[in-house]
Amino acid sequence: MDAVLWFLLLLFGAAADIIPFSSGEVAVRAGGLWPLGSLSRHYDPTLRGGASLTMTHWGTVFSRADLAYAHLSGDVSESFLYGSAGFDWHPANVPVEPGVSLALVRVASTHPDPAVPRQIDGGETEFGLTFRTAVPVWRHGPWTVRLEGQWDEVFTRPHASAFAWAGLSLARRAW
Amino acid sequence: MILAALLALCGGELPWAESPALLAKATDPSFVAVQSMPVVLHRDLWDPLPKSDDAAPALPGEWLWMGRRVVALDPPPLDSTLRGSFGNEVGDELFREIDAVDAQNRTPEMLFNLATPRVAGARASLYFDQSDHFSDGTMGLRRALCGNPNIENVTSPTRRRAFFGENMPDQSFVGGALDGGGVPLSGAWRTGWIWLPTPAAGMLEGWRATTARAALTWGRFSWEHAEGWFERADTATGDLLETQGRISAGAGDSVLGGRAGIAYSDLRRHGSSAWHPTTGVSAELWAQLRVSLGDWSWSGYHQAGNFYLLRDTLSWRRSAGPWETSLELSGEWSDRPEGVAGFFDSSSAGSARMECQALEQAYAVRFGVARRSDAWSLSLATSPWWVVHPRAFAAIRYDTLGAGDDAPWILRAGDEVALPGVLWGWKAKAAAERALVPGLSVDASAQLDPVLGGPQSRTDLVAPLWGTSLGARFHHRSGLSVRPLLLWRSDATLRHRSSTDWTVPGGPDASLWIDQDYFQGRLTFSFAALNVFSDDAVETPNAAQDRFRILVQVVARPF
Repeated sequence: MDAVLWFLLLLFGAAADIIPFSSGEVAVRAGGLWPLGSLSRHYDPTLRGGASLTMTHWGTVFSRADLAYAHLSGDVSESFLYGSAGFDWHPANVPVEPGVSLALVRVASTHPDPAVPRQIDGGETEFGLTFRTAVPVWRHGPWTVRLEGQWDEVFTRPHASAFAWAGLSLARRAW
Repeated sequence: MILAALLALCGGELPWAESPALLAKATDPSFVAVQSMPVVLHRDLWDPLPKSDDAAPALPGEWLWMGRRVVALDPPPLDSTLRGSFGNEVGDELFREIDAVDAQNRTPEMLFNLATPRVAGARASLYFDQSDHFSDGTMGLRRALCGNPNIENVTSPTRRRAFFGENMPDQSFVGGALDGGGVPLSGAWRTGWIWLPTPAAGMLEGWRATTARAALTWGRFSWEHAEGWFERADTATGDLLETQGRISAGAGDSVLGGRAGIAYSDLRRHGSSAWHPTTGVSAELWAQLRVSLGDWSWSGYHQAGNFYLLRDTLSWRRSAGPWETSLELSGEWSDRPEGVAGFFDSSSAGSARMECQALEQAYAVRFGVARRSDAWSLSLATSPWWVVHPRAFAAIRYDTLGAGDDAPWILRAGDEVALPGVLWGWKAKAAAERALVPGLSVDASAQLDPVLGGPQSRTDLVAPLWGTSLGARFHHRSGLSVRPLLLWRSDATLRHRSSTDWTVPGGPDASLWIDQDYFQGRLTFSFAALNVFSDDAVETPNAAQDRFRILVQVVARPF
């Protein structure tokens, strides 16, 4: 029990010298988006680009918000707007930065088919989870380039809908 | 000290949900069931009367709409924040719609509020509130009652039943509130659409509803007045006009105080609205009193006129070091069913009338003891209770309405009757909270609500026999707060809503709230995952599916 409490204390109470939101970093990112599982039969791989804001939160944990857009094509054509908020972990001595976010996606048919009316013809919104990791590959002053990978799990029925994304980000320390 | 600081940081603001009544589903082990967004069956653990909240009487500051408490129709209170929230019943098809289109839809919740800064002490707020949650299961019936309009035809005059979207949600409102500041006048209004079942027969009706209230306070005098305009928004025609208010005067200090006045109401009905009587004027004298002498206090609310309501509570409370002991004796007398009094409904399929003349009497004794310290707190409370001549619905017959793909809608006919005998039981609750490390605590509770004798097999509602909760609170100095909560309830029983008793299944439930404050609380991002273990079951007759929902909210307090 004591070990658990000390772990919680270290996890949540560490690094008292870090002032929350005392520094922030903005980034643009672009890469390939792959529908996974049964979705791969209906949608083609595509590109997704977006931007993010990352701020110090506590210790080596950072808070992060993302916004991204992709156009899906295949059996149907859809606009796919993605937003998320969550946390990244930047361990001091390991060049890998994992993160997790709550995601909100908005999907709308770009060419509604009157013969097959769907709820997404008018646009539908759903929540999901995002798991990601990044590796800094180049740093210069306030600039950082990262190689990033991301897994998006959208809470759809009858099964979750999964997408994989991989790409590059260019970040600059903003304050 | 640690615990007090933690409670101040984490527990000062209640977690939020689509509606205040529905919040109890995620936080109260004694919660019963959801029928729809405006109709939530909830009963406080310490209330001896075997009824749900929708049958509660209107006390000062509250209103009755169409014969009962419908909080969703109350003109909104002034909200001084800039607020936006969005939620969804989890499980839309989105990308999966290519494989198969399911008729069921997961529906959203939206709320926005705008407030002005104070100008000469005055402030105004405007809001939009539309919740489609718990509405999809009865969509087929609502469309049928509207004559199956082509809701995708934006030019159709029958299309509009909401300010946003095509879902014909349970409720869709815009409204506003004004506080006069230095002027002793305040007011609020709301207008929109709402779907409600009639309280007796259970007929579903769509209404175009507008309500407004105004309050004038002048020294010790106050005048609260409200108007309601309701017009059928389905294929039926007709309207209801309701007027109600309270004029009162108050006086007193910390030892002796009270407020007394007259409550009035007027109902005018036109067309085929299924309400009786067609007109009705009532007036009741009322008095609210309190006396505090040392450890003892007494509070009472007495109303007499068209119907009687007397509610008194005698309390004793003593603190000694970390210990606090309390004793409450309460009694309530009423001469007819609260809420539906005088406004019984009928329809072509069902009717109901009041048959009970006996005075309903409810009594309870509550004893509690609590110990609070810096690191932990513990409270124990127990309450024997009894109700003389409890009221219940006595069904004569049930009918059903076809509802397309939905389950048939159940209507009932019968009488509200006073049951013979004395219903009695004994409630108990234990709760504890323990601070583990600075910023982190755990809490747990357990409660029992057995009915032990009397006409227990004929009451409308049997609340969960037992319920437990286990939760944690975490707060970080960065403004991050996390509150997970696990509940476990036993089954509840609803009677006289269908031809057989209906069991609301118990079981585990879990919810999670996460808040992040910025700028010393002037900006807050919130996340809530509510009723995670909901299994899409229909909890009550004529209800929609119970679903897991996620809500996010941004609140700014710039003024």
